Amino acid sequence: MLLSRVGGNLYWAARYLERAASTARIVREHTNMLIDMPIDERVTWEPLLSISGEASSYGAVHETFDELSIIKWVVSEASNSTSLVNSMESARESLRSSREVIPTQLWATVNDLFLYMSAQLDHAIERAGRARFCDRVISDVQLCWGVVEDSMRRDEANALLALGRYVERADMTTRVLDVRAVGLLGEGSDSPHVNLQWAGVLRSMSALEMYQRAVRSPVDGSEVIKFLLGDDACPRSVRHNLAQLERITATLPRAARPLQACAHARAVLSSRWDQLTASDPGQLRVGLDAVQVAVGQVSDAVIATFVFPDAYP
Amino acid sequence: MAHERITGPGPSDVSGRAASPDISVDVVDLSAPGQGSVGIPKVADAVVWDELLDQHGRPRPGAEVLASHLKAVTQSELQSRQDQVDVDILANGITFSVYSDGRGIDRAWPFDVVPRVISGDEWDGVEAGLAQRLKALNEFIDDVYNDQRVIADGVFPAELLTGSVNYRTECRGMHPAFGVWAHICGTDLVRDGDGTFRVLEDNLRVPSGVSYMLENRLISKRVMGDLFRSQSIRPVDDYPDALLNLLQSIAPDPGEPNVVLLTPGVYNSAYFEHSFLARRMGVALVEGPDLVVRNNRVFMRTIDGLRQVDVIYRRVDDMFLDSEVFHPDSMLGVAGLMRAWRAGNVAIANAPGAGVADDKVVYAWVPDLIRYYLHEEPLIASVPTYRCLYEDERNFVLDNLHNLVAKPANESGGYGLCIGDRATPEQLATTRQSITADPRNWVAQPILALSTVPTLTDEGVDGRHVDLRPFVLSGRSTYVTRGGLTRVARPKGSLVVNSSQGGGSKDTWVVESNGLSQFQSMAG
Repeated sequence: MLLSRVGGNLYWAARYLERAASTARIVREHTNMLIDMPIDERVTWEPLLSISGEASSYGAVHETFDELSIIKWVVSEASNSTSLVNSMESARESLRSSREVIPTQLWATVNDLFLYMSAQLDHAIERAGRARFCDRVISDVQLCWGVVEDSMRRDEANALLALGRYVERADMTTRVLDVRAVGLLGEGSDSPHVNLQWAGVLRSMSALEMYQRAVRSPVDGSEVIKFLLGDDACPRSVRHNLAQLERITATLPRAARPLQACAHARAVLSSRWDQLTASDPGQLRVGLDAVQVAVGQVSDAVIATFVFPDAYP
Repeated sequence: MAHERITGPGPSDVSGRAASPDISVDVVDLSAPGQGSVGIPKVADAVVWDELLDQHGRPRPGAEVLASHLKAVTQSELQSRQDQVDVDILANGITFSVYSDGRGIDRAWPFDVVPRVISGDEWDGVEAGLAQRLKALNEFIDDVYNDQRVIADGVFPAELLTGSVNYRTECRGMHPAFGVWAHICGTDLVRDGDGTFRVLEDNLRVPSGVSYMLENRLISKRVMGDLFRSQSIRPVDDYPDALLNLLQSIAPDPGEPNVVLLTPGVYNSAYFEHSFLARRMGVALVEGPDLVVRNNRVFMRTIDGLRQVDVIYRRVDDMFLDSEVFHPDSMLGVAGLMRAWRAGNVAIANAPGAGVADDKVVYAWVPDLIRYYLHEEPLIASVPTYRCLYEDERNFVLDNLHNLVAKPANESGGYGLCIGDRATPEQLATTRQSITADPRNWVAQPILALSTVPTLTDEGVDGRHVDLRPFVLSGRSTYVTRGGLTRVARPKGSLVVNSSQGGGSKDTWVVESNGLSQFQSMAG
């Protein structure tokens, strides 16, 4: 008997939480990677903008693409709706009007993290405090999912949180590949440090160790793409998240439409597999675009069905 | 009861009680220390009742453990506990909202580490008095919406009913379950200079504060946990269960009723409480747009389609409940709700129209109502109240405004209040004008010397004035919280306890008078 309005709040709260953690991972690993690179290596901070789809809105108010301006934009900029701090605030506001259906500790963790972030924003920008700040965001969001796993009934509210989390993960993985993998297959492919950079892609999804254990060979670009798109057991892979979405959706009432969208997204991933894994940047981009659209359709179907049903019987 | 009315010519046709000719005696009992001396003679050193220690510095009954603890603990230890509490409150998001410049701001709930103690024996008496009072108030509400015997019998003036902004003709002829209209009541109590608990007002519409009472106990168990071992403090945590039992019991049909809590939304100052109670009862927290009325039945919009609602615990004021009947542009309620209620398809708590009895003017008649309906003397005292409706009482009020607290009948949160001895000449003049323009809407009371409780301040532990809001649940039976929400006026000498105006709060300990319970002494 979950209210539609509350279901919508939970779905979005989970997406925002996951987005905040993903952003923190990307910022942390991009920083790590660039510190590793020789000074003369041609690497930039602009991918951070591209991943969140913010390159043009950033460009509208900035003339330079330097490290601190970009980090500030991605982490703490109030006018950037997808900045880390804005994602956290949105998560907190969504959960504040859903407190009656979630564990108290979930709310307290999110609230505490938001207060920490608000107080520490200035320290998050400089390299010296950035990693610590990102660590805190990542581990507190992990704590949130731990609380949900540990102390929340597998009810409809839990299902809506899970849907938001899996949609956001699938979406984020396609975005990271779209920017980083396409770049590395293209003009970046002749860099002597290309494999370091592929490892950075995995790290930015906390997936390096999982990759190494599953693939058991040195980091290789085409294997990385296959792993992040098609591994059926990696919690960041698109295939795994689509499977989870289908499993969770099946537990909800009146779920025909989102189930159909899940099946469609899986079909797109299969039918585009050769294109996605052809090690060609143009082909990869076209394939990822199709997958991203299909994931978006799952999200639309979830919202239309559970949050704004067209009509009530 | 010696203090029902204190002075001046009284409307003998209504009250039937002899007015005391000697105003000085009563006013002295109730006046603040060292306050004004014009017009009404006062004793210069009128005593303020301290709740922890008596005038010889000995702990009052029940306060022995706390008093010796406070003697042993240092200021800095106390302060560090207070600091820890402030951090916890912020982290747990225990907040209330205030409005300023048109936008809501979330403020951390202000909590003082030093608890307020009331002895169990004394509380038993207060409980009985509150239960009696609510019984009479509910009979009164049921009567004014049905037979109006109280008017026919000359106990309550008809003109007050027709002039009341809280009387809803839409509610005439309704018979809610158990004859109860005011299911949830928050009654404000104060102690006067001789330690007597008096009712200051009854809040019968959408009283708030109970969640803070419960949170305060959770906090004080964390920071004062050791003191719970050496004495028996009555627990308060069963309130949400008692409330859910009550709400389920008034459902139109037995079985497994669908209970919801209706909130105005996240921008309401009491949203934290609405969310808290919904969570603790496991019921849906709904907003107006979540509900819809079809065929005189109320439904909520769920992810699985429409589900019928059987009981609504509403925290939305009458006038916003149903745009078909009340404010036509209200988005906070549900169009058609009154039809569904009148058809008997949904129960609403508190029932629409229950506010007719929490009018500050009706307050003056409550002792008479208790005698009329229950044939009993009031067990808990009221504050003597002048009714500006009557010319003689009004003239007295206008002549003595500087020594009285004048209150508009239908404001809450302390707004519109005029505390005579602290008001500026301009405020006094404005209030005088308002009274003359709309006398029915005004009452006045002597300035009370609110009791004090030791409170942690920047200058150390010092007495601050407090009131107490216990909550009373009425249904098939009556439930009174053990203690209630103690609110404290934080600036020295201040009497304003409202959290919206800078007041703080304390945990309230009803301490068993026989000391340790048997279980605790065995457990050691």
